[in-house]
Amino acid sequence: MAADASWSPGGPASGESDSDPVAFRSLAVRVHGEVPSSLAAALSADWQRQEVGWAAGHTVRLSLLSEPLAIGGRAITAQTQNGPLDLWADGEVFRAPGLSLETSAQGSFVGLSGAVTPALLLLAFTEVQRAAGLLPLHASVLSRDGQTVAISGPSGAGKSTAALRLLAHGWHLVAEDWAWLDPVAGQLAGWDIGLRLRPESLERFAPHLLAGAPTDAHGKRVLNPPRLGGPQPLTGAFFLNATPSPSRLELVRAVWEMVGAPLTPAARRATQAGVNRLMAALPMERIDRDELVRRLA
Amino acid sequence: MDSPAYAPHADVLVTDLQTELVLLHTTSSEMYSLNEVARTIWTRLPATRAELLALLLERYEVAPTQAEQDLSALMADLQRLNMVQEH
Repeated sequence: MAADASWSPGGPASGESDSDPVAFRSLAVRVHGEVPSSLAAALSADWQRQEVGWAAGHTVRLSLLSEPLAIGGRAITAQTQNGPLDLWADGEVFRAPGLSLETSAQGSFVGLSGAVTPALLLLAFTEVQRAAGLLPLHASVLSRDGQTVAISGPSGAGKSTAALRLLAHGWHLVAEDWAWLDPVAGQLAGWDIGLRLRPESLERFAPHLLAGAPTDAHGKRVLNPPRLGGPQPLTGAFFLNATPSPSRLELVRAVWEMVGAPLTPAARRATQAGVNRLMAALPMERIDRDELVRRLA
Repeated sequence: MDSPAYAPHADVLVTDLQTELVLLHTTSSEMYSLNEVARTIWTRLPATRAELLALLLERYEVAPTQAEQDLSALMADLQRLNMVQEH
């Protein structure tokens, strides 16, 4: 692989013995190498939330970074769900404190030290799944009778409330806000658990569930309905928004808001190809939340 | 070479709707739709202005002055939206 020659994370960390070997499959990638011991357990747990049986042809090699890294290149800011993250791009290599990331269509290299933040770790592993061809969906996903729909929209648009109301009509929760889609196979797997709702939404639509639901740090109540595991065939996408009859351009924007902007060149190429497939093959529309519930009930 | 060279901006996401190519700038959120002729130019990037002009004259039945005007108008739009960079 050409990327081998240019991989220069700084070599093994001298004097650092607190490392663990890791080797696991995660969605479309096969991960192996060494990571700081402080990261090993969380990394393995976060990226093996369920086994989906997808071909894992993309290899991710992990290695230890010695600190401090020689940071250089173009300063960039990645917009992520955890807010903006500052990195440096040097050709195909992206670096930040505790992280060095290089992706290609065939495989990726991730250098880590204990200084890496959870947000950067999430960014790196999201990028490698993207480079392997998957799309992360920022959407609630529900399934019933062979029909699986993604419900997307900005925070506060009512994705979780729509999901709660549809659960009462025989729909099963696949994901609250985070799923992975293989756009070639058209199959999707939920990647988060729980349903977080404002107390007033729960009181209005499912008051019988209010008593047993714990409260999270943002004051939302957390429900844990059984999740439908395994890959599901995605049959449609709905975007919660006030615009009644969106143009094609607005649908393109909505799809990119659902999948997020990739960072590395390989992830960008693969994601663009995936979005092209979605635009051509997946039924999608903008819809009002109450109308969506009426339609799918 | 005194012909300016253009390259796509790294922050532009491209979506192919078959009938049109849609550009989305990730930081400004601006969008721009490319018709068939503009798509021909975009997919040739990075390229110099002279190369793009030669491509238009080879591919389409168009007078050189018209091709110059079309290319200038497109590149002005794309530069204004920061979707191409001039080297």
